[in-house]
Amino acid sequence: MKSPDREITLTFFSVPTQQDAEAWRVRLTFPPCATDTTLLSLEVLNGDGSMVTKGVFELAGQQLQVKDGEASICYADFVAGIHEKGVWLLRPGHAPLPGGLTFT
Amino acid sequence: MENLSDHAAAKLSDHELFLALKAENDDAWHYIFHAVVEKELSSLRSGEMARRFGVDEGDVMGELYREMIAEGKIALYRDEGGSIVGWLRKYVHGYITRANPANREQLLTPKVDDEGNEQEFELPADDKDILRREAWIMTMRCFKDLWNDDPRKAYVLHLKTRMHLSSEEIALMLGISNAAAVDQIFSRAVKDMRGNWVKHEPGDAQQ
Repeated sequence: MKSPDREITLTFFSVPTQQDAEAWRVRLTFPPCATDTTLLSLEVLNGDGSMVTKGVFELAGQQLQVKDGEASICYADFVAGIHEKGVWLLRPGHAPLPGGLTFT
Repeated sequence: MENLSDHAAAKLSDHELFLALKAENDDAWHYIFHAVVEKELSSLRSGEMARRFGVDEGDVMGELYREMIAEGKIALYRDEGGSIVGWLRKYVHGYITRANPANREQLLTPKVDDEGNEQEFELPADDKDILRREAWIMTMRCFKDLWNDDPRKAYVLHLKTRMHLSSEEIALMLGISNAAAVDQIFSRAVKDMRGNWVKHEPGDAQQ
């Protein structure tokens, strides 16, 4: 496996809620020419753009620890869990909220 | 036809329903309220506009009944087997589109030619911004369905159409055997998106 020779970013959004404060946004970035062992970085933000200081982001069947708005996943783990539908962000003080890849 | 219930009206053929409506049968019109007015106002293509322009079911039903019965436009229905429900929904969609205040102004202001003579009124086209927004909401909805079916299809569709990656690049990136397999997944994804679109537009699917 190898990512293209340019940076690729995928964005995940929470499902719409009645309260904007509950929303979240996660950007997963593939650096140029990433390989199996590359750690892909994730930027984890609240709906208002502030960073999620602590939490767990579930993607591709992996539970990723979020700290100060950042998390990471091994490229090989991401691809191994590519069929996993569950995308969740768990934050202290918030109800777990699902989301998904956005077509943007 | 006098004791026609709402449920029975739903089972009538288009021809029978047309005759009942023309005869001003209350139950037939009651059925139209549910099958046409309520349904159109809850659809993606009209619901958003109706809310924005402050149009409710009562307004639309009144206008539909007035135009069809008082003005006799029901007679324009070509009773040749086409869906009368679909035909009436087109009218309802038209009322909602024309409720746009911007279009109302356009309607009230006759066009004037170079010599200052008033020209005939023209019906405005649909509000393009709203249609574009509706189409976008619909795309997101269909994309979510695609994700729920198989996230890999959603990734492939996204990488190909939004990130403009080639099939070879996607195959290498997602560990898919080869470019032909990517093309196959992509083609299924597009087909599913089309299917999801039809699924979310029940009105158009029926017409």
